[in-house]
Amino acid sequence: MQVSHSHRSDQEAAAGNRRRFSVRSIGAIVLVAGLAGCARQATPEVEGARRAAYRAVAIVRPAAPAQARLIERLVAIAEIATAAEANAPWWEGSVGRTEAAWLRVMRTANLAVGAVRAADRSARARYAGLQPNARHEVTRALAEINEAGMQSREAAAMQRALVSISLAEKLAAVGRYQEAADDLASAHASAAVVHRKWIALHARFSDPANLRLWRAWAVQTIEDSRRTGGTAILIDKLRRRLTLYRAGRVIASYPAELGANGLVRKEHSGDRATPEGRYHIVRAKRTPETKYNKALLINYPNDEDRMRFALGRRRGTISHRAGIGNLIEIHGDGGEGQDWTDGCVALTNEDMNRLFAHVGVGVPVTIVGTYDR
Amino acid sequence: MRKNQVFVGVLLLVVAVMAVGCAKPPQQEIDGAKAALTAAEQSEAPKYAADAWDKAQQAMNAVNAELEAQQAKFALFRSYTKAKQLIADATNAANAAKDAGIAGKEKAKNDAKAAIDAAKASLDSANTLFADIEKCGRAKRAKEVRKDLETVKGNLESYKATVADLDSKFAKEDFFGAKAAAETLKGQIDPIASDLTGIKTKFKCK
Repeated sequence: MQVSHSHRSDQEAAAGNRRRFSVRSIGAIVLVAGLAGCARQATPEVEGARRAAYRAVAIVRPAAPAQARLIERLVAIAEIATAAEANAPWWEGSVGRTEAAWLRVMRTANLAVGAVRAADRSARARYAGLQPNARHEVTRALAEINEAGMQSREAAAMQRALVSISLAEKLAAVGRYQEAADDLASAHASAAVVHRKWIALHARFSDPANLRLWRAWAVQTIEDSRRTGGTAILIDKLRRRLTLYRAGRVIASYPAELGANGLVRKEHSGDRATPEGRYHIVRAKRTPETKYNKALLINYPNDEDRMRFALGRRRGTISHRAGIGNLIEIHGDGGEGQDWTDGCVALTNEDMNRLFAHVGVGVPVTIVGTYDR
Repeated sequence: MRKNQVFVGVLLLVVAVMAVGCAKPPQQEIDGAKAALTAAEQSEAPKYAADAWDKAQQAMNAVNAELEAQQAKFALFRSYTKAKQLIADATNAANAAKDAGIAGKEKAKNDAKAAIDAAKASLDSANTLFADIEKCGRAKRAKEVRKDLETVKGNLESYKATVADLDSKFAKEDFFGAKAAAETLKGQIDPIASDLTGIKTKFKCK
């Protein structure tokens, strides 16, 4: 009986052990299953962000190298976060860290690309806004540069304008709009030097006092011709035209060329300006007396020219070493299409021959700035 | 029982010593790679050798990722063999970027210098031609030349100033800008030099 009681007791203990083992096994299975179920999320896919970041660096680098370097550093940090995430044990995994790192990269890259593109758009718009005007101004300056009175300073400015506009267009072609716009501004400024001189040269042709004086000379010359029935020559510098009158009527009109600084009133020798005033022919020359086919020498300087010259010297506007100049003629060999003489008035040889047939010593020659305004 | 406890204690100590004593990151090589990358940056590789620089950057990122991966492992299981190879690759890539940066900058510099020298040579030639014509009475007396010479004189003066601008751009290491400006300038000077040569030939100037 004792034996049987002991046997039952062993059986119960064994059954208890089996139950405990089963419970523990189930517990372990549940735990493993639970842990497996709690496995961290997959590492985020970062290849797209990586490619976008490198694209951004390539865009940003030429214009903003410091920003490009910042993006590169953020990429390096994000790569470390990605590697850490991929290799971390499950209990340390945090997808958020990787995502946050790449989001920071993308945010910075987007901002930098946006800023570079905005600056590029702005420079391009500035270039597009300036280009037609600068081109127009340079073209206008090119038309003005051949005007009599333009000096080497204006020629230099013209060349600067041409170099600048050419360079601007070259830079714009490779997308460097900021520098291109700066060069356009420089071309514009250089062209303005030519414009200013041109305007200054032409200002005296709008001055009412000058216009009154020139008109008075012209009217007087024509009236004298009408009164005496004689011939007279009237030269309009601005229009570059020589008109021949007889008995107050126009009998011929020829295009004329002036001194290289012809629009300026002659003040002294070597200024290559054409005088203004009332003169007369003092000598008629033919080849070989003149190298310009035929020539009509006028009495420059007249009394008024001498007075002005003396006044200029006193005021210091004319150098004491300068002479008043002489040998102002109407001569042939013209037809250059530009002002080129040392102050004379040049006609083509054909026109000079025709004029020569009508005039002689003593014929009045009046040279005015302009009289037809 | 007491014997077992001693055994476990010793084992733990050995493991701890092994964990601390082995598989350390190759710090010297890492520092070398970083220094190589810094040198590449200082040689302006990002500007003059962007592709090589990008490769060096990516190689360095791979090194950092591998180091991080090893760092994440239990100390006993860390191995830096692959990391050492990646570090060597990154160092090589950084050195290559540095060399490419130096070479790229040198090329840009030489190109700009050649363009500036060519523009200067053109200007010198034009100045010489102009001086010859100024000494040539036949040409100076010719009416079609007189006005042109005034203009050419102004042009040559302006080019002299522009050449000074080129040198300034070059000194500021704006090699692309200096080259573009020099080529543009030469394009302006050459036709003038050609005209002057024509005048000199026509009037048989010495």
